[in-house]
Amino acid sequence: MAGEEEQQLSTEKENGDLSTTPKERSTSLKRLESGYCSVISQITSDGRIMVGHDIEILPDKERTEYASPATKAYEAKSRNLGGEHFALICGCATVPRVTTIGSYKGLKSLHILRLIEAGVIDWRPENCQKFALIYEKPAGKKMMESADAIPYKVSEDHLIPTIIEPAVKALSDFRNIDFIHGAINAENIYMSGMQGTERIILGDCLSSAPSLQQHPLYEMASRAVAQASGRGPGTIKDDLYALGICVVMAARGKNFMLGKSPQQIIYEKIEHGSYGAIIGRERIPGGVSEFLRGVLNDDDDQRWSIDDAMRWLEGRHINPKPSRVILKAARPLIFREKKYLDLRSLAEEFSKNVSDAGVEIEKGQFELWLKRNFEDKALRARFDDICEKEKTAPRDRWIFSVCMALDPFGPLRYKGRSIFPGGLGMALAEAMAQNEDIQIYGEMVLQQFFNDWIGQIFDELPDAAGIMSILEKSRGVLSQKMPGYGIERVLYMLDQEVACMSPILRDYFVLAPGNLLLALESISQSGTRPDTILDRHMIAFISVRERQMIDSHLGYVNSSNKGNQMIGIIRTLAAIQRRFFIGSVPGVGNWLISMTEPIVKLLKDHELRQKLARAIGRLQDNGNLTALLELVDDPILIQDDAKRFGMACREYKSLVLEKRAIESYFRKRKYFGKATGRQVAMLFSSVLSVIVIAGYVVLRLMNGI
Amino acid sequence: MAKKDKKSEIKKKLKTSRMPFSVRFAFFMLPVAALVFLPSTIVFSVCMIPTLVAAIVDNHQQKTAWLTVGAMNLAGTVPIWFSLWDTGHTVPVAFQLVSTPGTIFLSYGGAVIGWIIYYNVTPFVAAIVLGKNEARYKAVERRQKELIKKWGEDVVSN
Repeated sequence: MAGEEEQQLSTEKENGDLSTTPKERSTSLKRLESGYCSVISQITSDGRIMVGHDIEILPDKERTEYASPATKAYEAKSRNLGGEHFALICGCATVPRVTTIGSYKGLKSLHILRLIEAGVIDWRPENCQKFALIYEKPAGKKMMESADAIPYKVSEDHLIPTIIEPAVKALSDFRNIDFIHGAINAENIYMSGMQGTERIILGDCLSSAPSLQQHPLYEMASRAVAQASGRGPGTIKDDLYALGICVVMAARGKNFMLGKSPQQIIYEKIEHGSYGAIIGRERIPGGVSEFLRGVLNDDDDQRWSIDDAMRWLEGRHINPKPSRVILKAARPLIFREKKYLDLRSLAEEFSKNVSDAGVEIEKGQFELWLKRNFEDKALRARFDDICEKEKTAPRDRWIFSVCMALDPFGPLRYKGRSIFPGGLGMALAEAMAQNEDIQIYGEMVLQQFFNDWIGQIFDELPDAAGIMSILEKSRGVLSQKMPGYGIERVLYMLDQEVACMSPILRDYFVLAPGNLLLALESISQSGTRPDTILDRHMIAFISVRERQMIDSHLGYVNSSNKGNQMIGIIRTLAAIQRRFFIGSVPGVGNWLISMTEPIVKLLKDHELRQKLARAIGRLQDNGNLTALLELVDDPILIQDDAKRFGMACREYKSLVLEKRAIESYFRKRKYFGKATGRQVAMLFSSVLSVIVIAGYVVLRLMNGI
Repeated sequence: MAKKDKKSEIKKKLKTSRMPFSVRFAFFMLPVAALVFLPSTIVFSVCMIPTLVAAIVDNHQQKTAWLTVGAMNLAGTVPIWFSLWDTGHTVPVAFQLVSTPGTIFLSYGGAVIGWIIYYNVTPFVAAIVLGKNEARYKAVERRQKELIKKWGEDVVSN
């Protein structure tokens, strides 16, 4: 693998590829490190699903207790390893975290699920490919069996050793490998050990993108208002926040989700702050209370980091500062027959009722209410700026800007979508997987909504410039419509872990171009081959994941000339076959051969065409795409052929002219050649006359002598 | 100024249309020579009548008949002219010679041979030229077919 990385780097250097930032390069290397992109399963002759030679997944033994709403869990057994196992089976839509599996597997923590194996498997029950994560079964039950169950109650004395200490240590290990759990919740925590001496084990976090499965209860109000796929990866502080909620639930033995809708929970968090909404006035043991005040702080700057939590565990006293007071109006604003005192709730409601919000603002009462109730100069400046700028903008955009001014740290709320810039990739992936309208996301990027959002809080965002840069790149990509660019490329640029979402590859889990070629091989043998081999998704996917494979041939791949297009496709697939050391792919080879007619037609010489077609035909069932490429991709031959064709055209033209001239002679057949004949007769006569005269003279002279 | 220019142009044209001196001299000398060598003039005038006829009757643009006939007519006349010189270059001898049937037979016989050449060589050569062109026409058609076979109909349309 290391050799491959070096090769990759040296190739980049040779190509003078300086456009990638060190961060992008490290991501690329991280991706290459991952061997979890390959298909790791085999179906045995008796129909069993084997992962390697050791682990068997039992599709008839579903284990719902380990599943999540987006994944399914099945019993798995290992021949060599002891203990019990289960396999989590996930699809493309959840975007398993393939780039971090290696780092996770390397962790030695006792407080996380032990990952045995991971990779793409052929999932026989659904006749498609899925991503499988095989974990060792945790010894113990879940802290909370289901969303409507009562959580396991831990006595106040045991909260720290049972939950907080193991979780913080595990999170500290995560921090060391630059990893975020993103799925800490009471339903994903296992209580291991004997009663009274239990220790928690954090459940699976690899089967889906961070925060994708999280209930708003486990998220800060600012993140909770965003759609789950649009929250972005978050930070380890968000993990600590979720841990804090779990600690309270375990301390109380109370499920805060029961009887409350997510909206109600969010509203309460906005209204009372997280700590106030979750704990209220009830008593919490002094030590734990300090921890909870720290991790549930709504002020991002004041919220505890993992270092703070570690220091606290070591016994140091850290006095958490109270959360920033949420701006509240003295008098409520009545909108749609409901009273609003805070701006976040109002922004949320405005975004959901754009036309009513427009009417409300146009009435002028809203501006007055804002001025009278909030003495916030920054807010007033933001609002005035928007009123100035967006006066003539369409209503959707206008309300979007108003919501952004009211809640600058909240998500971007536009046409029913509610996302943070960091969550754009995942939101796009989810929309594509569910066949939703993706143009809204394109609009948001093209109209620079994200830039406006970042511009408002530029100084408060840790990597504002980096986000701006990637969004600008995305805008550039979106403005180009040709295959390899557009919204598909934006998806793969923004989400490094998403599988290729081509409709052709619906039943496959393609995480790398090598898998793509193998998937195409499988499709080619299925008998339902599509008309095109590489569609827009695949081109964008290959271009983003392995730019050397396709970028230099993109002109050919996008050519309007079918022959050149096919050469581009063969070049790309042959490069993938070489780069990923993929053996013979006779199905793809035959598929490509069946589409080589336009390439053959690039040659004008019919004899050469026949010769080439015969040579291509000999590669049937060979599966070596490089051999095919060598045959069809000969620019010198094509140039020479074109040159000779030009000469032949000129020759034909001159022949036509000559033929016409001869035909015109033939039309005057009666006189044709007569002029020449007369001239020849004249010459003949003259010569004969000279001979006769000369002969006579000679004879006379001879006689005279 | 314009009038002067016109005059000078007309002068120039006259200058260029004028025959060169050598030609004018030849035209002047021809009747002189004809008078000086009057016996020869009589012989040639009578013996070369077929050539004159050929020149008159030939209505082809190239006017080669008089040359074809004239060459052979001359070949028949030259021996008579030599005998004029042999017997004395006088007018009575010239008249005597041209009134002799043998003389007429010889000179006019040459003219007849000239006509024979004219009427036989011309179609013969025309037939050869025609045949050659027919062969070339076939060769052109063959080559066109070859090009179409090799390059397809594109070679025609391009």
